[in-house]
Amino acid sequence: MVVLRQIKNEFKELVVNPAILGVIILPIFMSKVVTYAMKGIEAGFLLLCVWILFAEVMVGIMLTGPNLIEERESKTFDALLCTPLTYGKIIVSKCVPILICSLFSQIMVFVVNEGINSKLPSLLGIMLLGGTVFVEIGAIIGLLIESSKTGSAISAMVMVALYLVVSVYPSLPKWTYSIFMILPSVEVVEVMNALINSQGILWKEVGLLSAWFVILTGAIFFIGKKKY
Amino acid sequence: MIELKQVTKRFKNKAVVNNVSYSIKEGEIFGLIGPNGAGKTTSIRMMTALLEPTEGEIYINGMKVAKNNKKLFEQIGVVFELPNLYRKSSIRKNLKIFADLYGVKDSRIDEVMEDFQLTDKQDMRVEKLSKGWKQRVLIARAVLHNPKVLFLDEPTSGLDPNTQELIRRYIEKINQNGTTIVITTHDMNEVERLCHSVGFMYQGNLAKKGNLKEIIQEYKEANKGADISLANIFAIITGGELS
Repeated sequence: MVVLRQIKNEFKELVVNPAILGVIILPIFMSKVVTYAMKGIEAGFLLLCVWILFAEVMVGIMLTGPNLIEERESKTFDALLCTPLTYGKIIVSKCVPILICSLFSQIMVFVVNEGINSKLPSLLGIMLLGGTVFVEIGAIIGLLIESSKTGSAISAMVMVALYLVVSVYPSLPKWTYSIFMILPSVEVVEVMNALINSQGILWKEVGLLSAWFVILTGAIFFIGKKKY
Repeated sequence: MIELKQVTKRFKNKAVVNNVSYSIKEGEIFGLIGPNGAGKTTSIRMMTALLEPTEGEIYINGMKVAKNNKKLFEQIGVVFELPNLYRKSSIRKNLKIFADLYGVKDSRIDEVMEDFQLTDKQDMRVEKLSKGWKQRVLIARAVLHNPKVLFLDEPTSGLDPNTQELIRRYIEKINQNGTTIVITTHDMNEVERLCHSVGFMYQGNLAKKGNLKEIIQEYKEANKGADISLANIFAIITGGELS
């Protein structure tokens, strides 16, 4: 109950902030503009998947990291720790609203480009898993970095690196895929692309992404145990 | 009520609090005093489970102080030295967030706002408030759930006399209603006015602990009946070091 109340409070805080709304809406808007501009180019569904990934990394990393750093910098994190909320519940109440925003942004990227069709439900699972992994990456940055300025810079660097790599790897020799597939952004795009093209589930990539989820969750709790 | 048993806190092998043991009775106002860096804030952080002791144990109301002890946190309120409020949010919003966490009704928010004369300013953003008003919000937030134990880390430091008086009167009021209070301060007049018992911390050790009046009497007798104040005792214990 306490967590739900806090999630509600956090969510309200997010959606009344115009800058945060901008981060959520930007991928939706940009995906439509760029997809329209590239109409003549044979990019197929891969381009759409890349835009969904953009929504995942942008919202997940850019909102979670700085949000947590601000909470720690202003010491409100300490104040919350002296309430019935535990460290784990604080993290959950911070991350869940951002995950909801991430899912909204991802779904809207799909809808404005493809409309509501039967492919959308099949993507929800990977949107949720991918979204969670990037929110967790943001959370780790938020828990490890001490200042807002550094945190924003590192969040931006990680976001751009994870996003850019998906534009690069398809043009590289095939054997390099076995290296790139370790990255969560590549896994997300590959799984989504296969699902949209009705090629079934890429179990190896889903397994690797799930492994990221487990590792990152463990890392968040390890940091909590050490620091709080 | 509050019991510290051989508590030590080390940071990189340096003992900031060194083998400290004492107990605080229910309904008491206990003043933790000492120069800067004596270990007062570290002690409070350990009593509120924000820091884990390197050695020893702390009990509040028979419950071991530990993270994840939900019951404990329902019974304590903490006012930190720094104004750790949501700067971009209003006074009411700041109180509402914490009221929700304790399941406290909105009428209680109105009540504490009234106590601290915050009602007229309730929609103001915290970042626009002066230090004194922020401190009122901090204390209002800490007492929302009527805690049995209230920890106050330098609650009147750097405030104007009116706000200091308001806070001191509030401390007296809730103590009369049964709240046990642990307060750190550098203001010896404040200690003499508010506290029933005190603990002098110096270089991480508990140099002296006891009933305030008895301690003053003890030093008076030792100084052949000379008129001795708490500030004098503080100076004697800390070797004349200025706080």
